[in-house]
Amino acid sequence: MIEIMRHDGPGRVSRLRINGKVVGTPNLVFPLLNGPFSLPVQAEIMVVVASSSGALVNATFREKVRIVGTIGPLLLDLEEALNMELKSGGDILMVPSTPVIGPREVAQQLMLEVIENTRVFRKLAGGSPIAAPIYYIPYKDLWEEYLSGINAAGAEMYVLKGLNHIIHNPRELAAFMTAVNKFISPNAVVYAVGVPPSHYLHLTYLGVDLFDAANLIGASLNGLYLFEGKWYQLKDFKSLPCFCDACVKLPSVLSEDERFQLLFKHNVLSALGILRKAELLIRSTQLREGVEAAAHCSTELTALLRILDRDAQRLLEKYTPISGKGKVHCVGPESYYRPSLERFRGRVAERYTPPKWATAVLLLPCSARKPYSQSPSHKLFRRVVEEAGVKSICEGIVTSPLGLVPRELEEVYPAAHYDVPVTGDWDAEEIEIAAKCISKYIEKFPDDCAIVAHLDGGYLKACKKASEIAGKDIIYTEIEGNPTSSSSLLSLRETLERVPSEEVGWFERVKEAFRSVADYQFGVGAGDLLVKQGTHVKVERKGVKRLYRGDVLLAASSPSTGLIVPTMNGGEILAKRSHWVLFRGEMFRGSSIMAPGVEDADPNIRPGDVVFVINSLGRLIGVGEANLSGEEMVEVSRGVAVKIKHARRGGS
Amino acid sequence: MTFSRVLSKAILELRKEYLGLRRVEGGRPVRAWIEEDRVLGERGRALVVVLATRGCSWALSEHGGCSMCGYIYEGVKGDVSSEQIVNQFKGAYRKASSAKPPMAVKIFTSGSFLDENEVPEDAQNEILWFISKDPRVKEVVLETRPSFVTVENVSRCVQALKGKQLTIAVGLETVNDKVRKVINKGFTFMEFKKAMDVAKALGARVKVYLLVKPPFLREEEAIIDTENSIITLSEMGVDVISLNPCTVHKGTFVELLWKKGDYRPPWLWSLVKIIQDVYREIDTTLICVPVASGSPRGPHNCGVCDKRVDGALRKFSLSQNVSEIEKLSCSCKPEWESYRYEEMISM
Repeated sequence: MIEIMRHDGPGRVSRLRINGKVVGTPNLVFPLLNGPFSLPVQAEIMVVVASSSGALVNATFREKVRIVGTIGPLLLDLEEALNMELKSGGDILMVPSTPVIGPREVAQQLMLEVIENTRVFRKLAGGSPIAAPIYYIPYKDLWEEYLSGINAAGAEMYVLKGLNHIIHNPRELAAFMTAVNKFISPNAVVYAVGVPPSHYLHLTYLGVDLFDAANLIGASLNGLYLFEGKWYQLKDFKSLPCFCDACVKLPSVLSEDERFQLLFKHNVLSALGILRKAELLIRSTQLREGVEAAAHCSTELTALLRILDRDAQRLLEKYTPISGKGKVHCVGPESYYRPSLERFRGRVAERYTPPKWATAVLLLPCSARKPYSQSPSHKLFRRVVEEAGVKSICEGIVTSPLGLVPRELEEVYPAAHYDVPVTGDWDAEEIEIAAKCISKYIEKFPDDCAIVAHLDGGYLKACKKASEIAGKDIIYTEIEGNPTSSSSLLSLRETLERVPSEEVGWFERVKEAFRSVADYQFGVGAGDLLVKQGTHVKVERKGVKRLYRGDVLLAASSPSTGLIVPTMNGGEILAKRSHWVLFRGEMFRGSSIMAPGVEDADPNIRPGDVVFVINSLGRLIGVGEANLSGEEMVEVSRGVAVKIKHARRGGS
Repeated sequence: MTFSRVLSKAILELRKEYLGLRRVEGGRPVRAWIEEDRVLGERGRALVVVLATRGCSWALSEHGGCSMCGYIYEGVKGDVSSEQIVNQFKGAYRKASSAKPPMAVKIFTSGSFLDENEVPEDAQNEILWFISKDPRVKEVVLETRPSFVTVENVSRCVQALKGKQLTIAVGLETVNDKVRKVINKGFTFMEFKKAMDVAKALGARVKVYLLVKPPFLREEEAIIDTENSIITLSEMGVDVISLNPCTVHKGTFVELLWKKGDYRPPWLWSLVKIIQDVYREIDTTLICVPVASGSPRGPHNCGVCDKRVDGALRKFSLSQNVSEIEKLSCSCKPEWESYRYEEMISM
């Protein structure tokens, strides 16, 4: 039923295909009620309650995707319920349930009943998609049993209920949503009910696909007006800030019923707008940024994000694309532990290895222009280094919030893409983060390597702390005014003239960058395999670097992400160690591998990663870009898993 | 473990704390009052006496009793003698001294009047004999669980009442056995039917209390369940059906759910809807006298219209004239409609 198109964190843009109808997520599920409620044309999915007193909608709204539920198993047995739901024209049939509430043992019994009923209903419903309820219960030790049990029952959709109990409890909300992501298959649609619009972006980020508009009815009846994700009293506006057709009519409305109708319409459309924004943000890999911005509206949402960064980093990282589009804006403390940044810091710490020829390390401040080497300040630094005649020097750029960027990785996402508000002031947390990163970097160099720091201000503070942590002596240049002043540069030059140096060719250094990026992407050792003896690098126009062995092209760098894309020949070298995707057949057709064709995949694969497609005979048949994470492409049953860049030509 | 076992365990856990707080003195009834009521199909007055006994045997058993019932805490810790019970009743009877006929006497123990362990047989007999001497009284309503409605018990009461109409009142709550199970009621619809047959055969009338919105049911389901119960019971020939909207008693399982936000007592609109929906289909007396309406623990609407709707329900109960509740309206009515719908999805 679900086809995942794009990720940003666990948040996803997907397509649902049901009975010939196609709708996108994230989306809003509209209520269908008797009486004065009408369905706006923008509604694509609706939920109906089929009961003796509820509406039967068989004849109407055929073009919409209809989720149908009915009364619980205390009143109606499952078979009758199923028939009632089918008769109401349900596209997706809800498993009837008794609410899972009460003290622990009572809730446990009810939970087991829900799982069992889901199994039975699954069988009864045959091929029709079903939606099973997941009630939040305050007994953490039961979550795994509940979630894995109901996941095994194999519903196409899961309805998260009772989130209203924890919507203002960020700790519990973070924990529960993490558990849902852990145990519920990504192949299922997640529909959350009772979530206020203020939380839509955050819960989308946590993998919720659908939200319901039913809880907007009550607010609308109470005269509340939704604007930019927050509730206001309609009567507090002198003139309305929205110009939808409902809002245009609102000021002149006389009857209470009509006023409610219009207000409800504005509110659902406004709520839908938040989800449209979420979709855009996911498509442009900026959902995380949107979530950070929205977090500033409330302490709860800020707490939720901080707790997630602390406790659910692995979940967030797993679905965070390896690279994104455009600039990365890091505006404040909520950005410090963003998964893409944590990943960069983690990979530098774990995967970066200095070149064997290194005799010295130079720590430099970052620059506004990226990559750093293109900036005026770094061009000055470069000239000084060259004038000092030190060839065998490594450069590390101190920055916030990335910490430390080795020169070799300066073009890699997000190092060449981030943007921060520049004030020159560092807060304690930034210094802490940078100090840790610097210390891990300088620890990698042998003790006889000289470490020179050409830093001031917050950079210097972080560096001094790093020196303490690593237990390494650092030679500090004298900064006067700023690092690019002539006297500062003179001090840098005089210092560099005194550090040990060996002869290293320019191409050797470029190859070193290739090696480091390969390690960054594919793990320690991948780079050595790729840039073995006999290889050389050509730099082309627009900064594309190509790695050759003799005449054979092994890999090329992508200037927009700084990552490298191996060719089939390069792939042969790397395919067996990591980032492999096992294809079910011998040869694929077309330009992508669809999810059902994936037999198995390296769980370390992230969306956007370069991957190696291996066929059932164990041969490399393609190099491509992952559209999903490794575990996910094994799980899901629809959609593109890998977009092929290079394929074996002329059969196997 | 079965659901009933864990539910019983949970209820017992709550009882432990609260049962200790009962009073020890058995000289006074729990409550007694005179009210307007329907007496054998016409308007009259009823003396209501709630006797203080050792309490409902079901609630005191290892099953813990019903999930919404906190009446047990109003009883007496320890045994209450026959003499004390009779004195309670006679004391309460003074409230009826100026009441005009026709009159009914309704005796509750918050358990079973016909249960010997609660009200010893001699006390039962003496109370009924005492009533039998009052010419104003036309009807005597005794509340009991169906297991005590035996041929022996009912015929003894009929004899003691010397021609006054006996009505056996049973808190059946619903005709649905599954729903009654989650109330932890501890008897089946079959058992009730047997009791009803016994009572009817011996000339007694049968009155049934239905619990509107038991725990675990959503508002919409509660409406369906009660409507279904009313129709079924009416067809069976039950004489009076009394709708009891669930209230949140202290120290009960329902209170536990309510505190966590997992239970809301029914809307008064739901009661209005139920009566309107079934009224034309039945010829049974249908009454609904809500307790604690308008408060968070009782059936309530928006706070503005509660008194009005509650009053209308009471008027309807006395007059059986459905026009009393037909013209009610309030701005919260659409909210109730949407609540029913939203709860079906969100719960």
